Amino acid sequence: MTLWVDKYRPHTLDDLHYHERLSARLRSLAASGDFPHMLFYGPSGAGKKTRIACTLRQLFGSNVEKLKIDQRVFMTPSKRKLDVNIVQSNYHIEITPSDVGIYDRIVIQEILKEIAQTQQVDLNAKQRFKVVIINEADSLSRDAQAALRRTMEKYMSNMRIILCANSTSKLIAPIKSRCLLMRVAAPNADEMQTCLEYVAKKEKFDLPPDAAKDIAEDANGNLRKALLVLEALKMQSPDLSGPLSIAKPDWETYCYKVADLIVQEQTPARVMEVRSKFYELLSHCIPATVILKTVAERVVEKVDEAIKADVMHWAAFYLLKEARMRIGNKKIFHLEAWVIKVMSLYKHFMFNFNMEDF
Amino acid sequence: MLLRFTQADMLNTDLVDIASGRPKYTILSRASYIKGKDNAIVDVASRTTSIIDDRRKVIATIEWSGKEKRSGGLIWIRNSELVKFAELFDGCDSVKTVPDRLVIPSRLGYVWVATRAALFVCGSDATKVVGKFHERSIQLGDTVTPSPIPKVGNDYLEFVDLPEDAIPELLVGYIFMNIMRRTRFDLPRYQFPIVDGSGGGRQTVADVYLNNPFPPPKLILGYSVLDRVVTYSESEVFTVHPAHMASVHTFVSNGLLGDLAMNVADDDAMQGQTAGGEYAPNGLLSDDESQEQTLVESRTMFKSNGLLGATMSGHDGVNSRPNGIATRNSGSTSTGICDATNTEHSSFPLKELAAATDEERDESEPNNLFEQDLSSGEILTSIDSRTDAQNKITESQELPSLSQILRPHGRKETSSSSKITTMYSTTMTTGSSVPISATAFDGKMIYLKKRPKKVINSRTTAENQRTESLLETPIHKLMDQLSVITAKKLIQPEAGPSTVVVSSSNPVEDELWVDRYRPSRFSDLLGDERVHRETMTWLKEWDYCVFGKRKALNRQKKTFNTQAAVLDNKYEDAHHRPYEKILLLSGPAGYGKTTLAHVAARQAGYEVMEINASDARSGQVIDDRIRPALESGSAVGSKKPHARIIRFTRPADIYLTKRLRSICENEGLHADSRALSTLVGVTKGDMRGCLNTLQFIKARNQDVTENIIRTSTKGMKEGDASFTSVLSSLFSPLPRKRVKELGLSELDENRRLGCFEHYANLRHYDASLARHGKAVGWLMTFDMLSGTMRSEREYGLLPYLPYLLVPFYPLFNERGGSKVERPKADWDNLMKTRTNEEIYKSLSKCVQSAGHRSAGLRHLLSNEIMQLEFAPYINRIISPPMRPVNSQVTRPQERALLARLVDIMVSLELRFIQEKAEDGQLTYRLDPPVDVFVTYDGKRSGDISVQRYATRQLIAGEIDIQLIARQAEATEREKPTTAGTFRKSRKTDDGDNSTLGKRKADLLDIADRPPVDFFGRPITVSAPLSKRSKGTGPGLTAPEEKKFKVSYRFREGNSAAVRKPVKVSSFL
Repeated sequence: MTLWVDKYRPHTLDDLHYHERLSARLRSLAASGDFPHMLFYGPSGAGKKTRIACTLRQLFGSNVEKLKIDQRVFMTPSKRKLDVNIVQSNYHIEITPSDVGIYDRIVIQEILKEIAQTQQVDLNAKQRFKVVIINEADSLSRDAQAALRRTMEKYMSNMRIILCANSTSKLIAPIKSRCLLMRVAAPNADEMQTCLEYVAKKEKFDLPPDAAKDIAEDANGNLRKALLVLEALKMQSPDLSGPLSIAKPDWETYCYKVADLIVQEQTPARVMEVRSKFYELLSHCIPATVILKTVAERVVEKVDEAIKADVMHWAAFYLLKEARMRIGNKKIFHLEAWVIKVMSLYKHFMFNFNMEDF
Repeated sequence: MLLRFTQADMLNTDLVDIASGRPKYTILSRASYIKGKDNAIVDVASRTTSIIDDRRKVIATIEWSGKEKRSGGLIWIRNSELVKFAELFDGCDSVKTVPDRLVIPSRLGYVWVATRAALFVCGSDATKVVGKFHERSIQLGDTVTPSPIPKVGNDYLEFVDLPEDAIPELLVGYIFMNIMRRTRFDLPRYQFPIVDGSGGGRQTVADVYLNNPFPPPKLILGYSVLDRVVTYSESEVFTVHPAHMASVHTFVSNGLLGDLAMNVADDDAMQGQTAGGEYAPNGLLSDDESQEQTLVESRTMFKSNGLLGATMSGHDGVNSRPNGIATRNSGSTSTGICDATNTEHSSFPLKELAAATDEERDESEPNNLFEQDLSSGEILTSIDSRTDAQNKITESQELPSLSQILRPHGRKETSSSSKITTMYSTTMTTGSSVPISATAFDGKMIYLKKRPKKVINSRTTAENQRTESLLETPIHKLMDQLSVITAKKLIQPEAGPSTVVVSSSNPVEDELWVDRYRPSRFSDLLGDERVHRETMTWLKEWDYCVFGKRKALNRQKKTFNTQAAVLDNKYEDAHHRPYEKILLLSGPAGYGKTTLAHVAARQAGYEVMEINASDARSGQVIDDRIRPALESGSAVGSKKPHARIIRFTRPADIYLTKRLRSICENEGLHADSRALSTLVGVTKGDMRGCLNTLQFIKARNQDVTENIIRTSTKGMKEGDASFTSVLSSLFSPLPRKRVKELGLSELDENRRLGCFEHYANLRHYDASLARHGKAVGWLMTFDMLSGTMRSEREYGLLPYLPYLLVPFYPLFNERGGSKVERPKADWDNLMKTRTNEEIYKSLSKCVQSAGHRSAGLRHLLSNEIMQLEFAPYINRIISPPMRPVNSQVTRPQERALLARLVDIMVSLELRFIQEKAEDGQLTYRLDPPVDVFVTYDGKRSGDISVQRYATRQLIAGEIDIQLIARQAEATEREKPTTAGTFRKSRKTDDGDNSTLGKRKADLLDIADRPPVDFFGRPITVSAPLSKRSKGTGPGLTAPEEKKFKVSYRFREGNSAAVRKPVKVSSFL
């Protein structure tokens, strides 16, 4: 017995709760025998990987769920050893190349070459090809993506690639054009509610509709989060009755605190305070982009209408120019740069406002 | 024009014009070698060949190239540019390969043709032969014919109707063609002579002087012959390039010709060379066999000349040769430089000679007068056809001293030497400029050039006669002169070419002043004398152990501080070694640690072994190098070695200044003491720095002023500036210049962090935060630049980085700002991040192994999901509010909750581990500690209930139970396999039974079968028998009607019992 998130994960396309049309399409694709390279994209928790798994099952049958996990060692040209976890069945292989950072190209090349050069040996296999699933494709480096391009065409007969990404914006156009794009949208509140109720029913407890609604709204389209919250709630207060306090993740709460700090006071001393908070967040391995995004959203809520746009603009400036953060290795500089920018904006605004008043 | 090679070695020979009988051209080759161990030649560094005409002008030079330095490289021919080898041959890279000949066009339109036997050059129409090479030929009148006897004859080069200008080029061409011909037709290849012109064992005078301003006296003695050359022509010797000195050697070692050759050395260096080339091969009486390398040649020749030599010609017996002559001059009363042994030796042959002449008279044997093995055994003194030389010299009025000696013998000889076919082609007359020429046995012409009269020479002669010594100047005077010369050279290097010496030709200083003025004596050392003495004391403490001298120790005890002695007595071990075995000299750079070590060790009589930790960094290397050194003696004792630490202090500035001034005077620098003390101040007493700076200044101008010092020491020692000082100077008002200087030095990573950490502490009252915004902008640029630099490996950007921090100065400098501290927040953060990453890793490992059992969980593995969603919620999931009560008495609802919690925790491999806190309280810790992810600023978020110890204990207990149960389950799951084997064995058991049954049935069948007799006829049996057998039938099938129901269970356990099939019935 495990977490509900895992326990009630659908295994076949028929079991899926929402996006019926997508499921139908996948089913027909799997049946057609002309299965293309695919790129699943959509927000986190929308069910991309679930759908990939279901598609695989549709393609190869239940044997595809017989998995083995092994660790492969790759050698970089500079003789550095890379350990990569690989999940594979007889019919597919699943890798997360972004685990190895800038060396992802080597992993991609090695594995794809290996797969592509071996033919399916299982005579009973339903398909002639193997499937390679590449998770977190949007964090693939440019080199790795370039390495994919040719392989995708060259070894089409032996292999299909399924990419899984949150957004297509970071994938290069040649890759996108080689794939069938599958957008997996986040489920809406009703759909999520259905899922939650389904789980509750299976777990044999009563889920008050209000609670389900609250959870679904809070999760904001992230079904995985919703299920985790549901389970947490169930553990915290077994009867689920009464007013529910849906816990935010701690880092989020913390980010809000930071936002409040920024709005309350704009002095260098406060900058130092905020910096220590940022350090705390960063040391908890929260990605700097997420921090900036969360804090900025909160700040925007709090500040006056007039400077909302500016705050967001600068957040976007530092966030969207994420290249900055990725290039540099001191994320804190960039975070703080934004904080100072916002602070000075806010101060300017207050100052001007006051002056006009009197 | 017919030219005769006087040597077989075509790269070291004269070309004698037969028509005029004078050497027309000289070909000389020089090489410098790279030497390995034992002075063995490892490689050729460079090799050049020059062709010199009779006017002593170099008309062509070949710079050999290639690894072996034996292929044609750059060629310079008079009146032309430097050409490449291929250009010389009309730019042809490949050669027409007619099987039996090699045809190569030349640049001037001639065509070289080489066959196996011949080499000639045709005119452009290829019909007329304009030049021809005659190998091993004899000259008969005007024609040259191949020698009928192998290995006899000379090489000749004949040119017909050629303009004079073309000859150098043809000579060069000939050299190449001959080499190529030999290679092409598999003739014995041309062997490049090993003529060592510089360095190594055969050091030349020039080398001696150039490299060592104060050569030890021994060395000078060794080259006393050359000394004479020096005194005859001081300037010229110095102008002789070291590479050419070999030739000087050569002619000097000719011995007999030494005196004659002097005049050659007078003229100029090139002449000196030629003289060497000229006389060496010709020799007086050189035989044809001895055509080897020049040097060997000359020695051989000397031996054959030997009559006049002191016959001491060992390998380095150079010095004895003139002595020998001197001895003769003086008629066995030798003075001057001859020491006692030399006198002995040199007077020896004289007697021998007398004896030999007697001998000869008896045997009337003209040649091989005698062979005398002198003391060394390897020296063959073959006084061969001595009369030739004697006579000649007797005739020579230029050499009164020589004739003088020879007179007594000469008279005898003339009477007995009727068979000798020596002839004198020219009568030598005093003062005539006609060269003396003689013909040797083999018909070779010998040219002796007369020495022009010179004051110095006449004086020499006079002196010679007076002192009856070959060295006209006593050796001590020579030494004095030398030291004057060297002193002059050292003191006034800029004095210009008028004052003799080097400067005109090579003014390059090949020595750092630091090395030049490194103190070599203990008393020269600068700085704290106490330190020096202490070091010396320590070193002396070893004396008894090393040298076995008690005396030194005693004296030292008396002389120096007794403290060491006391220590010494106290801790003296069996070997009387000092208590501290290792000396550690420490101090800032340039205070003279190395110098002290070297000087003290040398002074105390040790040889210095140096291990430089900057080269040999690994312990292994040090071990490798120290161990062999220690192997002979005992190593450091078993006790832990103690080091005596001697800390250097800065020498008093005044001493440094004083020393610097003396050095400046020596080097001709005009320095005022103000400038020098400034220099000392700037370098903080670093003598090495001072000297280097001075040398640097010297390279540009003569005057040392304060300003120059200031400019040239700019940036010195900047690297030492600690970064706190850099930071505080960034943030406090300072001259703008200082900031610029800071920008020049490389700021490391920490500095920007320092900037980052500190800047927000300043300018608290800046309303708009504009300054901070700007500063952060700079920091971001810095970050991006350095990030790009690292990822793209564009380290060229590195120098620009520091400038990005300079803006902090105008933005933030502030009087009385708070103290800048070393940045540490970032480091702390980094450490924390590392720890948390580790926790994430272990958590993901847990999830992964949980994923083994249920595939879905691994979707949580992605970093971001793990960090943002899974980590916070799993903490809530595993910490439900629970009462710490006994699990037996809980409500069913709570029990379900607990069961679920335990289930999740077990499957995710989360555990509570009991630990003792620092205050002795027992706690349960979550492992892996995923609860850090809900702990910010040391506080857990409010909605997660804090589990008390009792609760955790309860859960931990439940987890243990669950784990045990799971294990049991696992063994249970394994059961089918074991049960299977059992079943199988049972099956075989059954099988056995069945076969047994079958067999039985068979048996029964046989039994049941109606009995037949031998012929197969049925036998009628009696009824009771069959009835009995019928009765047993139901008896066998009795188990079918069992009353007991048997069930069994196989309990797996560790039983050593042998398992074997047993019938169930045996248990019943």
